Amino acid sequence: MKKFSQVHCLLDCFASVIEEDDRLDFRPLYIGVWDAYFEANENGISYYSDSVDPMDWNSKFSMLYGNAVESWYDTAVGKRGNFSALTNRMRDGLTGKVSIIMVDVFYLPYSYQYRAKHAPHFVIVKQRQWLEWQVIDPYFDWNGSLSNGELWEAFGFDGFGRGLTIDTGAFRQADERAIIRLFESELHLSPGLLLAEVERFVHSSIEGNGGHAPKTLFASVQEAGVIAKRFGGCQYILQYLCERLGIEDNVTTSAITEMIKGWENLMLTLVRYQMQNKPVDLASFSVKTGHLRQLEISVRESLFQMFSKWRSQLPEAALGEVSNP
Amino acid sequence: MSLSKEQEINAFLRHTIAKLTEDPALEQLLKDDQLIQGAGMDSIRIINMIVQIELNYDIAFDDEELQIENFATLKVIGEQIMHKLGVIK
Repeated sequence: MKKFSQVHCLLDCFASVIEEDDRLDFRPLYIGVWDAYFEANENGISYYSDSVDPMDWNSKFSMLYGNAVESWYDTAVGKRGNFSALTNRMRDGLTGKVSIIMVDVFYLPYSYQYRAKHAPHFVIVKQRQWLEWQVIDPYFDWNGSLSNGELWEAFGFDGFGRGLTIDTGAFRQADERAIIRLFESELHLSPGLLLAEVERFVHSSIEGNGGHAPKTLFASVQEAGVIAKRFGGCQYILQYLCERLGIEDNVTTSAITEMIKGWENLMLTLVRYQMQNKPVDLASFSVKTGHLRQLEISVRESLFQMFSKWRSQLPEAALGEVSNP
Repeated sequence: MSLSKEQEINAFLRHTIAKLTEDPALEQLLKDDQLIQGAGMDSIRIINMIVQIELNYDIAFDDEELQIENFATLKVIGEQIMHKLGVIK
């Protein structure tokens, strides 16, 4: 199963834990990740906010793989109390249990955002040995040790936090009916809101600044680049559906790759707009976003058609109580 | 002894990256095949570096060429510049 790094930090942690169990397929976890919540307002685009609750992902995890996730972070006891809770949970290197915690990337020495940018992030904590913590960060493709001081500093984000413990002994194989339900609720043909919000923000910022990009433009929308990485989840779902249908689909694989690269290009182009002291060619910007929109629509259509075909091939007994599409 | 064009570009890139990241040690320590993003080169710094390259070598990168993979390592960036200068085909 080919892994694609950097899709969604919490889901990448879940997937990494599931992957260690040979019986399980982590890919269904990524169904719908491309439409995951983000915040868009007059200040720009953000992949997190105080009002965003990642508990939705815990529910999806439980729906697919059983009630193996326990959320233990207690907002009433503060950072020290919660770090103690983590320490106690992982004290003896409990076999079959791992924790996923929210950290601030600003304090992760291996991250390229180290001492540069504050942002919430999730990592897996495997165990504590003496004053060293064994940490796995699937999003940054890193695993190694962090000292107790380093993990303490990184633990939580901006006075907030999350802590989950996963009991790998409680895993069960994802039920096909649950997977179908997820597809039906999460797979939509219409493009997501991200592109429209970025277009709206960029156009209004530039038009409101006499045709030039304001110096704050990129800072306001740069997290759209992080959010766009969630389209990488389409590769997992495509791979999953192709396997079920016994086919290959190089056209959709290439379209997803092109879409992710297109977003990367769009973000770098915005930085360039901001640095150039000349009017921005918004028509050329619209050509780029128009192309990205077409790619997104084609990927959604392909996934939808494949899912419909797979579903139509399943015997009624396998569908159980699933409603008709 | 004068530097070859490749060495001169490599030295220019090292100096530019060390300056942009405000980490003088990188000028010596950055490996040719090391990802520059991992060395603190975020999107803004990468575009800044591209501007410096364009000014210094009187070349231009089209918007379509703005991909992280084209500016991933010293080696890759050096090759991009050499192509633009016609030093390598």
